[in-house]
Amino acid sequence: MSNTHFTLQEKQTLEAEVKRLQSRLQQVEENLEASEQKRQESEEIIEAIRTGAVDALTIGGEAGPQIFTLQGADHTYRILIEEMNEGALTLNEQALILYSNACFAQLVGLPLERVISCSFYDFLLPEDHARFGLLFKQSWSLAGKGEFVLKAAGNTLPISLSMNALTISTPPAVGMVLTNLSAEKQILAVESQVEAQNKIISGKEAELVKAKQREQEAEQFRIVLENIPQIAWTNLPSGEFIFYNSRWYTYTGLTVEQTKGWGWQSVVHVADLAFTLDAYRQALAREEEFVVENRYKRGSDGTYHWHLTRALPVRNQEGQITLWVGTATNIHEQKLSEQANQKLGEELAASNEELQAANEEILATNEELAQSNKQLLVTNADLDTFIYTASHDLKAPISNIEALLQALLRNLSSESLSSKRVQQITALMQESVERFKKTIGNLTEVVKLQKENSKELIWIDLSKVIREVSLDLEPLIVETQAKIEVEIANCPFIHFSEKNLRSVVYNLLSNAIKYRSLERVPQITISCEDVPSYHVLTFRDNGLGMESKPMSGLFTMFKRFHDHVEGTGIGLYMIKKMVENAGGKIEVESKLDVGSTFKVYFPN
Amino acid sequence: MKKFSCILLVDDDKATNFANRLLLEDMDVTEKIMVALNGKEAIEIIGKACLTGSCPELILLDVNMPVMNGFEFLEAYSKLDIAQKQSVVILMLTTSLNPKDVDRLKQAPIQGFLNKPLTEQMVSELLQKYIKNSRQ
Repeated sequence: MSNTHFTLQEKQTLEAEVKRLQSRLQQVEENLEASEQKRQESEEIIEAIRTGAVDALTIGGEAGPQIFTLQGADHTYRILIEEMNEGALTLNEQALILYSNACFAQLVGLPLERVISCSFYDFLLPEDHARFGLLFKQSWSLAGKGEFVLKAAGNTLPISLSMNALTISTPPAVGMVLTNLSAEKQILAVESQVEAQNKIISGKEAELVKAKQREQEAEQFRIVLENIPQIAWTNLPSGEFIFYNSRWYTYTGLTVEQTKGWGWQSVVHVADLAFTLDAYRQALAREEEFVVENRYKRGSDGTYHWHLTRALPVRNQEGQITLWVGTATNIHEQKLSEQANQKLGEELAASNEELQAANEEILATNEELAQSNKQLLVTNADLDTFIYTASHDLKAPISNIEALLQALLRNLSSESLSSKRVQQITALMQESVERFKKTIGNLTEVVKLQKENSKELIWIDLSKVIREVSLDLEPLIVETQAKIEVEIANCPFIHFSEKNLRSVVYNLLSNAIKYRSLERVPQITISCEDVPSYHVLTFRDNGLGMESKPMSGLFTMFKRFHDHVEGTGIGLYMIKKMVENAGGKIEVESKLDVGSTFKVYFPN
Repeated sequence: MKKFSCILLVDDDKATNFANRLLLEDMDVTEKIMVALNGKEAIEIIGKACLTGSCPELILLDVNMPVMNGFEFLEAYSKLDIAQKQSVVILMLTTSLNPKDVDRLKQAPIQGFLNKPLTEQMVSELLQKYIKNSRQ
């Protein structure tokens, strides 16, 4: 542009043109701003209508104020306003009614057309006009609320109203909503009454429910209690009895009236009443189980039977005791058997004591016995000593007599010795000395026998013993021509002391020969057989035999049946002792002049 | 005929001593006979006699005696310190049948034991046995 040139006029014209264009631009901009403002206002109105803040717009124009309703949005709100139970009005600055819904017309009891364009003051009591005036004036800038009395069809209605300026309205208007307080108040009143009543009702209901629950519980208890096999009852926490099952009435024979409360005491045994009541009251006070054993009188026969009486508290959900449930179980039999047992126990204890005493006595006796035994042993030893001593002391003088007799014979003159009388005397003296010595010898043998018995038993070859004894007796056997048969195949061995078996065989065999009959050749059979528990050794002879009568004395010491035969009377006594000490026995069968049979039983 | 030089009879029974003395004298088998009534007396007699060189050749000893019996005598005798002990023959004369006593006799330090009464036969045998052996 530096090389372009304009005239002043041209410049001025151009500058004016710029100014015009600038102001035009400004105008356009202002218009734009106004348009923007209007657009914004429109948006706000639309928003207001949409949210229900206004239902119609009165818009001022060149043709005067014109009411616009925005189709679409208006329709829904119109219905809402018409249908609602509150009165809805719009008032202009003079409080003339521009719009009323049907509800308001109804409230005031006028047709709708008579309501529109009326002053709202016409529907208020004159004394409220000033107050309303103030509120109405205020409501143009601030929302207002108040309670008034509405004149309606010769009647008055308490109402509450709220007003709000419809700021976008042209001409300006106030929207009003009226609520009929009379109905509300009534409702409120009823409601509060109902509430109060409800409270009462719900309270009573709770009580009723509780009562019913109790009733049900009690009923359930009763059903249970009727069906248990004991006497049962329920009582109150105070102790009064309220229910007994039928078993109680059957048992006691009492009526419901007689039992009620504390009537049950009449059937409790006099001796049990005090502690029963004590325990009952304590249980109630402490809220603990009630247990007692007591007697109740049976109505049918007036007898008292022992019962186990128990009661337990029943608590509700709050933990309070509402009821006690009790039972009385007949324990008479148990109690009696218990008492019997106790008695039995006492008797048993007594018996035990007796037994113990007896035991002690036995112990004492045993001790005495042991003492006696000891004494006996001592006595036995003493006896041994006595016999040895006696035999020694007897032997010494008899030896002296014997020696002196020999000395006398040496010292006598041959004349004296040739005298027949002297020979007889000295011979008898010598014989007496011999007899004396033999007796002493036998006594000593008896003592030796006692010692021998304590020796161990062994199995002995019987045939060997018989052979050896036969050898010892050979001179006698030869002299008498005795025939001895031995048949011992059945028991070749005998369980016995060897020395004693020899004595048995020796004594019985020598006796069989010694006591032979002079009229026959001695015939002796030694046989043996097994019988249960024993070996039986038998010696049978055909000798002199004995009469059965004196046989019982056969085995006694120094007993002799045949005085013509030499003997000491000690043999049978000794062998009997030997056999019996070993648990055996000896039996004898004998017939005079026929023979004898000795049977020796050795235990096997 | 050979004889014992000295025989000591030890017995508390005077009748026994008398009968034995009589038998020995009648048989004339000893030069001298001494008598003691118990073991203690016998020990004293032996002690004295042996000192004078006249020890008894044969002692016939009873078992049961008061003061000191036959066994106690043997014990005391074993403690005696005498030279001729070896040639002294001791025989016990007894009536005891007590097996204990018999066992004890068998154990005793003696030449033998005889059952009373002493007989001619016994004395003859003794004479034969001891005088023959000791003197020949």
